[in-house]
Amino acid sequence: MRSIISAEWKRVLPLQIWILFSMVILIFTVYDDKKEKSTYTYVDADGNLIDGRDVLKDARQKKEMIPVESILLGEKKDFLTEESLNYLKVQNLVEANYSKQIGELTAKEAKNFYERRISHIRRNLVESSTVSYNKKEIDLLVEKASQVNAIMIGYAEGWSSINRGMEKFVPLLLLGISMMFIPLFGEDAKVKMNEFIFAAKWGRRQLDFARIFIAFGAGTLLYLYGMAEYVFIKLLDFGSEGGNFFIQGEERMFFSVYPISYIQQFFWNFAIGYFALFVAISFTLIVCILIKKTMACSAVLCFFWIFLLVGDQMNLYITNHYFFNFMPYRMTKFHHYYLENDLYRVGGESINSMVFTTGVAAIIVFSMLGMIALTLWERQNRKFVIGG
Amino acid sequence: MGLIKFEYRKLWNKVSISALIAFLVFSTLHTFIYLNLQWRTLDGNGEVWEGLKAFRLLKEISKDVEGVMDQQYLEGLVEDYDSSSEKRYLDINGEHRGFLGTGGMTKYMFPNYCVNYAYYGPYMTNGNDKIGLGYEFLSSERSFYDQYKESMKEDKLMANEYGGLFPYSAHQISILEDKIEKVRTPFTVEYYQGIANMLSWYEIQFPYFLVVLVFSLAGIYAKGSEYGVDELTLSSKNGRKKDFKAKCISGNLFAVTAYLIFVAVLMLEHGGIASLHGWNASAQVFWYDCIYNITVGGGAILQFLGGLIGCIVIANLVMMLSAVTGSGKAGIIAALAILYALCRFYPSYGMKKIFNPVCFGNNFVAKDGMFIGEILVPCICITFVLALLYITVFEVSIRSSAKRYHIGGRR
Repeated sequence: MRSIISAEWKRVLPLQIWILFSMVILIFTVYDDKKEKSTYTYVDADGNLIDGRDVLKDARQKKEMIPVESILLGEKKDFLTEESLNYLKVQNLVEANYSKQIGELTAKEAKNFYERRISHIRRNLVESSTVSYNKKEIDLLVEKASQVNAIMIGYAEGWSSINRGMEKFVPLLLLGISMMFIPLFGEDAKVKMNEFIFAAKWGRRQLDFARIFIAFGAGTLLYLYGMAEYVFIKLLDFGSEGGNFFIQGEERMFFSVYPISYIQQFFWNFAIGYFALFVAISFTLIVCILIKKTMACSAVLCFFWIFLLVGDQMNLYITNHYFFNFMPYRMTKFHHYYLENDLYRVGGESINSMVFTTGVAAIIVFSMLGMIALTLWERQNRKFVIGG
Repeated sequence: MGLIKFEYRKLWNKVSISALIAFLVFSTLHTFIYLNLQWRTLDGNGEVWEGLKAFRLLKEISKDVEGVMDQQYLEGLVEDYDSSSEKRYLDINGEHRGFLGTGGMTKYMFPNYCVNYAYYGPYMTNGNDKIGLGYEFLSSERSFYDQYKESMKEDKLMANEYGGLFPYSAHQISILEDKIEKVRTPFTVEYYQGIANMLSWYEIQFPYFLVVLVFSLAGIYAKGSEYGVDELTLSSKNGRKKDFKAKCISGNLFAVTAYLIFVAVLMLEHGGIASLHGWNASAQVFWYDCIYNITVGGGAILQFLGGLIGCIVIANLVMMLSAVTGSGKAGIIAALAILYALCRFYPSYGMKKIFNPVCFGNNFVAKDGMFIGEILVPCICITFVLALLYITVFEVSIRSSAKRYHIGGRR
């Protein structure tokens, strides 16, 4: 068995593929970093263009972190200069919470910063046009949200950039990895493998098992490697400070109810991405086993991913709730777990979409594996004549 | 001829059929799911109808607003709308203020948006705030059309300022003004929602259709692919020159056939859901800034023709990549990368898009013109000339690759 795995592994994942894989991740991450940095560029009061890299460098050098309420109450006035990144962050939070500028805030408003946030969250839940939450669910979510009681302002761009970028990176990683396994069960017109397979010493059963093992084993390895390279480059570029800050320090996550840090968010995303990878690989295997021809499989899988992409762009609650949430593309659009508060009700219990999605993903993977096993078993027991 | 026939047959293989079926399944799901879940019609009783039946209902109730937009029509329209329940429902300060911008439909969209264009010109969008009829220029047919043409002029000049290839000269502006003056009035108003849906879906799905061509044609000159080139092909009686030519023609024929299937399926689906009624409506009722005297149906045909030209250009590009790389897989990767770059990085606004074959299926080919010197040439003609240029370049590359073609080794 080991020799079969080794031979198939070398066939599907030769050294060149690993090198190419690393290079693509490197190029993507460096390009993404460059784009991220350009978002920090701004024009100052004198009309000078301040480069995003300088803004980040300046913010990183300060190494300060202060709770947002201290800043608003004026306890640390020297902490904020109008050109600093921290000022921009606080301004964004104030605008999201009060629709005002920092200078316009009264002392009372500054004191009630967290209460105001909670009241916004409660109102959003009550007035939600997509999910009708019951009182128990609202109380539970609000209770979670109220655990966020010390939003720190400081440099955390490394981890926030990792989490933001994962929404673009992980779907591409999944697509790339799953496409690599098309040749496992796909028949290439050039490589007449079937003759060898049927004449092999150990027969088809062991070969099929080895191939499924490789798909998930090598998939795991590639995923770990890809994520490690991505995180390493990001942290190298932006630094690893601020990983323990609440994610609510970032404007887009301000109304998230989850009291978690950037590092926790990363691990949550990482775990969901891993489940999504298994769903993607299962789809690839089943399509390849059914269609057989490598190119035809690639075409079908390409349109499968296009459908998932367009489905995500349509952004309809019903289709997302019942279908796209369990598909690899939307599974890795991580922001919706933290912001949309979608719930699934099973047996009187409300389950948040993060937990439910991963549960359903696991069921999909096992169902697919069952289908794969059945198809292969049926094929193994079929009388087969080469060329007939 | 026989050679072309056989090459054409070879192109209908498992790969191309799988790609085309996968695309059509995607297209159908995209059409039905979105149209069924998002769109809804407001009837005259203030009731909202959802799902696919909303389109049938809209067609039925839109008969009231169909007609020629003359003095009598405008007077009747203002009177009807002012006393309608729709006006109250769509009140911009009311609770349904987002109805029209989010898939909501009413029969008044067809004439009222056209009237509002006369007021808003380049700033026209759809929404509850741009459906009202409280304009002084509606007091007479003449003042309405004068205002309409003024807005059209403003729209075109602004488009040139922000997205033109070069600024218009004074003489060009006067030619444009003449052209706008010649726009035939009064307009004919008809229900056209089915055609609008079809063209909208067509524009969204056209780039994805091109992926079918990539998978189907990337192996046409590949070594060892089932329908590519092998030792037998090269040593045949006809020789490689004739065979490569036959492959090229059959590749183009395949692209045309697949494209016609795509368009036919779109027409069937959208015709079935919302009907293709409205072919005789004036183009200006649908494309408000259209400077040509065509109908909505005529415009749709021009748009499809533009798409066909774009599709042939991309088919030749894919075949060129296949001949240059000599590998099906490399051809697919290169073609997908180029397609992605054309869709993602090439500007899809302003007149720069006229050079991008992926945009040849957009509505500008039907409604816009471009100045070549002092002549205002319809965009469809320009796309045709550009396509000839692109195809010639690709054809030369294919021929040069054919001369140096070697099986089983690097050139």
